[in-house]
Formats: sequence, C-alpha cells, structure tokens
Amino acid sequence: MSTQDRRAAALGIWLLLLLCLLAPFFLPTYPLFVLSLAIVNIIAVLGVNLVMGYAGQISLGHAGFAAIGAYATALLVVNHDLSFWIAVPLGGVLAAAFGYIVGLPALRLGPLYVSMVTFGFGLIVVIIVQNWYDLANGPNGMVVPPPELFGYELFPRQLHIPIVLIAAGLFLLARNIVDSRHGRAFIAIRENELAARGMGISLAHYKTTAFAVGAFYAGISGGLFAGLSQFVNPDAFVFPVSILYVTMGILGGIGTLAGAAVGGLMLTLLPELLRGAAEYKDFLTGLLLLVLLIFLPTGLIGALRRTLDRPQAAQLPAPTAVPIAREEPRPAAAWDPLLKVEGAGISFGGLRALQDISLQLGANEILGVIGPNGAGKTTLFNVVSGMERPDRGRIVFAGQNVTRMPAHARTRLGMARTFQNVALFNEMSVLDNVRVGAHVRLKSSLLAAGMRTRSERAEELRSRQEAAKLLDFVGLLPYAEQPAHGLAFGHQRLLEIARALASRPRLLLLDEPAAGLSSSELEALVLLIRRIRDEHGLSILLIGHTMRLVMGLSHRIVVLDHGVQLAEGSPSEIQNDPRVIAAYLGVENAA
Amino acid sequence: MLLEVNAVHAFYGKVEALKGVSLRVREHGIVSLLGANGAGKTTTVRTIVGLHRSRDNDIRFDGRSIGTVAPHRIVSLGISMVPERRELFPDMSVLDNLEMGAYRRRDRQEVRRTLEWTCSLFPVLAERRKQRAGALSGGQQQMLAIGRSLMSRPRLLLLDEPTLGLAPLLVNQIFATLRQLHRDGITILLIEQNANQALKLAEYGYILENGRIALEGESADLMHDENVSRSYLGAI
Repeated sequence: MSTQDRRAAALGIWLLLLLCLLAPFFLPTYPLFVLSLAIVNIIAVLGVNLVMGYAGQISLGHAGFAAIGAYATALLVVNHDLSFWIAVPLGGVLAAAFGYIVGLPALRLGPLYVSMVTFGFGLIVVIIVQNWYDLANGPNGMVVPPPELFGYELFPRQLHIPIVLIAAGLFLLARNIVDSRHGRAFIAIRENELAARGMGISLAHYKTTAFAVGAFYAGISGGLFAGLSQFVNPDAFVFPVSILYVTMGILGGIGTLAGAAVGGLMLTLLPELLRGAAEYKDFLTGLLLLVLLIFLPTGLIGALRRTLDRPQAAQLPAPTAVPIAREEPRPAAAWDPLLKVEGAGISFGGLRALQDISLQLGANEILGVIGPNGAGKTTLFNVVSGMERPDRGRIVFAGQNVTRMPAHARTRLGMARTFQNVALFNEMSVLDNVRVGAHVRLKSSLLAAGMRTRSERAEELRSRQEAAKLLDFVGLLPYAEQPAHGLAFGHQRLLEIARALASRPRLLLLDEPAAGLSSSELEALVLLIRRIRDEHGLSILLIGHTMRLVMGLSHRIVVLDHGVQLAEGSPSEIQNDPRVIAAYLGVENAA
Repeated sequence: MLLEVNAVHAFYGKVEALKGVSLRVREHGIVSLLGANGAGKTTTVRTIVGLHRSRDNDIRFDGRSIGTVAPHRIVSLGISMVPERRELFPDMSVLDNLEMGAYRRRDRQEVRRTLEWTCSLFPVLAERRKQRAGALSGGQQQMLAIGRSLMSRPRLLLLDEPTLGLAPLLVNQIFATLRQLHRDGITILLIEQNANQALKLAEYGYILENGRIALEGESADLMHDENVSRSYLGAI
C-alpha cells in the first residue's frame, strides 16, 4: 500500500471512529445497540482476517472461539464475582489457547483441511455448551449482569463508548502486528511456504501464533457480546455466525484491516436496515452480497484502493550509511572449512538422486557446482540448506553437525539461499521481500510489535534502510515499492540475492543466478557476486550453467552427473576434462 | 507479412511497459527479439497472444486483426506460445500435457498424426509419456513445453526464453530443434538471452530497450553492430 492510500485509509478510519464515539448523542437506543453489535463483530472479523487474509489459513470456526470468550466471561463474572473488565481479557486468552491447539493441525495439513478442522471445532463447541447443563443451562443460556465501571452499572447505551475504545485499541494492535516483522512473516507463509522456510521463518511457530491471535480477537468479541446483550446462549455462536465473520471479511476486502471494519459494519447494519422488507430480508441481503462480490471481487476496500491507484513516488528513507558488511567481523579462518558434506546420499522412490557426495567449502571461497539438468545439483542445495534430509552422510556447517537441523534453524546459523525457479513473496513489495530476508536478525517480540515500542520502531526503521541499501546494491532500488511479481524474471533473481543477503549469511547458496540475464547483465552479476564475497566476507556455493559465470568466479568446481560426483578441480582442469565435455559441455562450448 | 505488430502499448497499472512497439514477421521467417530484463520482451509476446491487454492494439495475423480476439481463439487461428519458465501442468502426465496442447482441435485423426510428429522430434517424450511432467528434468520439461505448443499445429510459434536454465549441451539441442521446425515451415519469433546463438539462427532481429524498439536489422548486421555486441553478445 502506498503512503497516500495509507493516509486515505487512516483518515476514513478516524472519521468512522469519531462517528461511533458520537453516536450515543444522536442515536436512539435500539440503533445504537445495533451499532455496538456491529463493532463487536468487527473485532471478531479482525481476528478472522489475521488468520485468513494474512497467514492464508481458512478458519470456519471463529464463532467457536467467540463462544469460548463469551462463556468464560459470563461464568467468571457470575460464578467467581470477577470484574467484567478482567473477565473479558481472560476469556480472550483462553480462546487464544484453544486457537493455538486448533492451529496445530495446520502444520501438517493444507489450508482446505485446516478449514475442516476449524469447522469441526466450531460445531463441537456449540454441541458442548448445548448439552452441558451444569455449565450454563445448556440451550437455555445464562443471564449476565450488566458490567460495572467505577461502581456504575453499564447498560448497552453506556457500554457503547467503552466498546468503541476497546475496538479501536485492538484495531491499532492488529495494524501494528501486521506492519511488523511478524506480519511480514504471516504474509510470507501465505505467499510461499518454501521461501518462508528458507528465510528462517518457523512455519510451526507462525501458523499457531496466527490462530492464537485470531482466536484472541474472537474471544474478546465474544466476551463483549456477553456484556452487551447481558445474555449468552449457544444460538449466538452457531456455524452460520462463523460464515458471517468470513463473509464480512471478504466483503470488506480480505487482507486489509479497514476491510474488516467496513465489512463488519455493513453486514450487521444491512439486515437491520432491511427489517421493513420482513420476509425478503435474507433474500435481499444475499442478493446484495452476490452483486457486490461479482462487481468488486477484491472487496470494498480492495476496489477503493484500485481507484486510488496512482503512480507512486519512492517512499524510501534516503539510504544512510548503513554498513552492509557484517556487524562483527569474524576471524576468517575460525571454521575452516565452513561447510563439509560427507558422503551424502538421498533417494526419491527408487531413484538415487545423490550418491556419496563429499565436498568442502572454505571461508571466503566460491565453489561452483555444474552438471546436466537432472544431475542432482538442486537436490544437493536442498540437502545442504535443510529442505531435504539426506538418507546417508553428514552435513557439517560452522563446526556443527546440522544433518538433522530444520531449514529455518540453519538460516539462523548463517546459511541463505536462492531458488532455481524463483520463490518470491509475490504480492509483497520488493522492499518487504528483502525485509523478510532479515527476519532472523530482527528481535522484536509480537508484544513489542503490537505496542510498537520505541526499540521496535527503531529496529523497523533500520530494517527498511538496510533493505533499501541492499536493493541499491543489486540495482533494484527504483522498483522498491512495486509488488515482486511485476519484476522481469532476471530481476526476480537479483531480488532473491538481495533477500538472501539480508540475513547476513556466512554461506550463500546461489541456484542458477544467471538464468534469464542478458550478457551485459551477466557481466554486472559477476562483478556483484565478487563484491558480495569481498564486502560481506562470505563463502558461496554456486550452481550455474552459464560458463562465463561459473568459470569466471569459482575457485574450484564440482561436476555432478546422474547424482554422482563426476569430477572436481580448478576451472581450467574441468574445462579440459574429457568426461565433463562429453557429459555436459559439448564440443562447441569446450573451448 | 504473417504477423504485424503496429505501435503497440501495454500498461501495468500506471507503468507503461510497451511504448509503441512495432515488429513484423514474414511467413516462414525466423525473427529474434532481444533485450535486457524489464525491457518488455515477455510483455510483447503476451500482448500478441492476448494474455495481456491494457489498450486496443493494432496486431494483425495473416492480415486479420487479432487485437481484441480472446487468447483461446488466437490459438485456433494458428499462434502458439511457449511461455517463459515453461508453465507445464506438473501433476499431469507427459501425454496429457501434450494432449492439452491440442485442446482446441477436433480432428482426432490429425491430432494423432501431430502427436506422432512431436514425439519424433522429441523421442524422450514418447519414452516418458506416462510420467508426471513435474518429475522430468529441466531439459525434458522444456522439450515438453515446446512439444505441447506444437500440438495445436501453429503457423507461428512464439518462444519465450526456451533455453532458460538449461545445460550447454541441451541449449545446442534446443537450437537444433528450432532450426528443424523452421525447415518444416513454421514461422518463429524467439525471445532469447543467448543473443549470439539467437542471431545465428534468426534472419532478422529486434532489440527492445525500456519498452521501445531501440534497434532492428538483419541478424548479420546486428552481430557486427558495435553497440549490440557490447551490450548483448558478450561471451556467454
């Protein structure tokens, strides 16, 4: 989103907030109650949006989380005499705990299966509260006393303003999270799980966190609902309510927080406005929804954003003199060799993709890997970077045996890679792609991000500047604010290099960085890779078919063919090796 | 002229990617389109086949205006594209991928003959016809992508970087195949980063820079042009 769009959206939200705060002074009781209800719904939709729009997981059971928040609040207030204002956040936390548990299957299952898990969860919650009479009178529900504040009982009219303020606070919290490294991690997972792993993002951690935060919002929404309606029963949390939340999110514009506000407001108010139409109410609501979604497939906010789409000036802070070299220079020969692959082998089905591969890579060295297509070069990269686990052999990196270490942990140790077929976060800006690369170096917690603490803001600013600097380094700074998928193919490769460098690796794995580059761009890339090695002081494992690149840069070259090591040696030895010429180079290129 | 592209414009949002590109390909001709990343090569071929449209453009195929014809109908007219990065159907078999190339054709007998011809061009595809396309090696995938495009029996074949990510030996094979297709009478428009080999193959070349044709001419002349050789013909 450009800054102008942000400003327009922020202005809209402030106006909406002001209107909601002033509403008690001009709205009669029932319309005000409906408005309060809409705002309570918006809170739940914010949660759905975090899970769906940002982390890309489908939740069809958010009403279940709201039920947990509502019942927890009601029971704590009635049975334990707890203040409503303490009970609501506790309900939110309890819902978050359930969200975490429901999120666990997301680690193994795809989004569609996860949606079924959440669907089942929503049903079970309702069935339990319906049949557990001792808990809260089963289907008859239970009465909740009006919340008290400073000794005053707050009836729906008075409760309106606190609800608006809480919603505004939660909106701000969500916005802060979304704008932070955690929000970028959510989107990275949505856009490309493989690349997200490569950037050191733990899928397990972020998927469960997304569900926990999303459920927290629903739980708070449920608790406020209990206080507002002064009554909870299972009917308020049945499956259609979950679908309603999802619909509100989609109508407003999934993946935008303002969309949650607009969608929640519209779909709560609309049926009330159509009350006069009595039995046609549902029909008209459905029809309107259908028409809106056909003509505005990206939701109301999405459509608004497109009309606001205008050429964007670069919004970057001028890249200040941020050192792109390592923060603390490491002794050059501290781990020599930096990487050892010892007898690595891996099979897929019956196919032996790699057999008994052994190689060493010293500090500051560039090792080329060449071989025919299908020889196992990328598989070797996957084994080294942790995307695949070898059946045999060991991988030792920086003195540690990392053979069984997951990919994201290896990134943390100082490995970074690019991908043969390019794996970018397509919908993210070019700049934010690089910032995701820096994920492992940023430290701010989710809470610090939500509160936007001073140190978190400083860290974010630094990460922007460093990312801009890296883009400048690879020559992509003019494209910083464009979505990554709009870049030409060769530029996408350069962006991958910048993103990999953002983690400040000790070992850089480059998988065919020259594919798709013209010869002048290739010359630039050769210089760039040399500069990377010199200025960043790192070691490079380089896969490539472009002889000019591999022969010109590598100190040594390993040749793979059909998964076995065909040859190893200096560039000139390799170029004159008759086996390599026969298997790979062909006569014409051997010169 | 089999293909005429007249002052074509293309936009991504507000960004103008093509600023009046004109090019021509004669029947049975073979033309290469060169240029740096972001110059607009891919956008040009995507505009020709109708996959990207932001303006009413004057594009003619065999004298007929195709600037507003839907992409799937353009295939039936006799234009076929081999997309950048192949874009196979990875979970379908090799044979199914090939048959998808003939999706718009109804003449089953003839389709079978085209299939036999395609398999004679790329025997390895026949050997692996039952395998998942995604399980093929990079070179085989590229052959499949070309083979799939041939299944619609195009008069004009557009190839967007067919040697991307291929080992040197395979690059030579792909160029040999293109030479063969040209001899068989197929008109070819080729995007290639390997400018040297592309110009050796083609009779005419266009060089795109920032959405404009910066230079055009007979391949032999381009190869001896100093600017061209400095920017595009370095030793690859």
